[in-house]
Amino acid sequence: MTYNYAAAVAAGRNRNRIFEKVVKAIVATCDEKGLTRKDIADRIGRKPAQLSKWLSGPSNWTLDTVSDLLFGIDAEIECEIVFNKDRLRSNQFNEEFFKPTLDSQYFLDTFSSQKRMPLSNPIHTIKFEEMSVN
Amino acid sequence: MTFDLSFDSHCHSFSDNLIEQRVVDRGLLNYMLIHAAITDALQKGLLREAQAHAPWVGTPRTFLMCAELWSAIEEGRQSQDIASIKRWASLEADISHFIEGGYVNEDLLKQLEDFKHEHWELRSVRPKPSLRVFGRFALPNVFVGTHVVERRLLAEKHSFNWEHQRIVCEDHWTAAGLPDPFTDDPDFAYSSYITNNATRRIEVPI
Repeated sequence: MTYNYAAAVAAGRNRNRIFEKVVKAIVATCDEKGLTRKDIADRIGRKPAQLSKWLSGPSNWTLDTVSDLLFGIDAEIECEIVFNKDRLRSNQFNEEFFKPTLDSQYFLDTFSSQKRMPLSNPIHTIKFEEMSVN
Repeated sequence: MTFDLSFDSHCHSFSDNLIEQRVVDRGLLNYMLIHAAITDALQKGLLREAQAHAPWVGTPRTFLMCAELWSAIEEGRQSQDIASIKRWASLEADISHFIEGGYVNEDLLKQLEDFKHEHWELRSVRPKPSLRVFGRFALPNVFVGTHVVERRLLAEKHSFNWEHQRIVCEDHWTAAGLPDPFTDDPDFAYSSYITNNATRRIEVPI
């Protein structure tokens, strides 16, 4: 039997999400209470280097790691299981990338070879020289 | 005293100058250029947009893949041994995390020194041997992954292999028809490249 690839992706995804939640809680607590990595490490009974290793990424985390880190800031995880079929679909997307622009092919054809805006050479100019008040 | 306020003059000089100035000042031309180049590359199949792995999530960021990267991932998906499956699945989860707008720091996505060359690596570190995706930002929040290399093959930073892969990254970029990458030279602020939910380092004092 082969390990289901989608299950492996979901595992990585959940690990990243838990990492984000825990790290943000630690950052917020340290900011609010003026804690350092050493303070948290001391509270858990581990070396600061171990804490820094944990904070560098979730790849080697276990459930005990999550518990230890939250213990270090006097917190506990609140679990809620949500079935995917019950999730609401988000309508958030990369607006910057997909915002409507002028005809992109036109710009590609016109400027891709020169990559620079042509110098302004207006046909007419407005000159403000002097104004006499009658 | 000269006032040329005819309709023709108004159209060609006043508004055109304003538009040109706006384009030049705000880098809009570069935006349009690269946007057009991406659209073209997507249509030609030179780039492919990675999808988030959960259909219900938002996608505030975009991850585009050059041909070599997506073919490597496709191959990885066919793995039979559990270590390989986990390695490639983990990479896809990391890419999905980026797309979904998850928290990013340089443990996941790092700009390689010298910053001015605009080379980045996406670090998918477990299981070993870990993977490194090379790439560049086309626009803020729009990353183009060019190719993937096993970390163990790269040796130490600034080694010949590292420098070689950076050149390979540029080759893939050029082959996709992309113009200059996005840059925040000379500041290279992390938040210019990834504008939300990202810090270069985790801000917990030592």
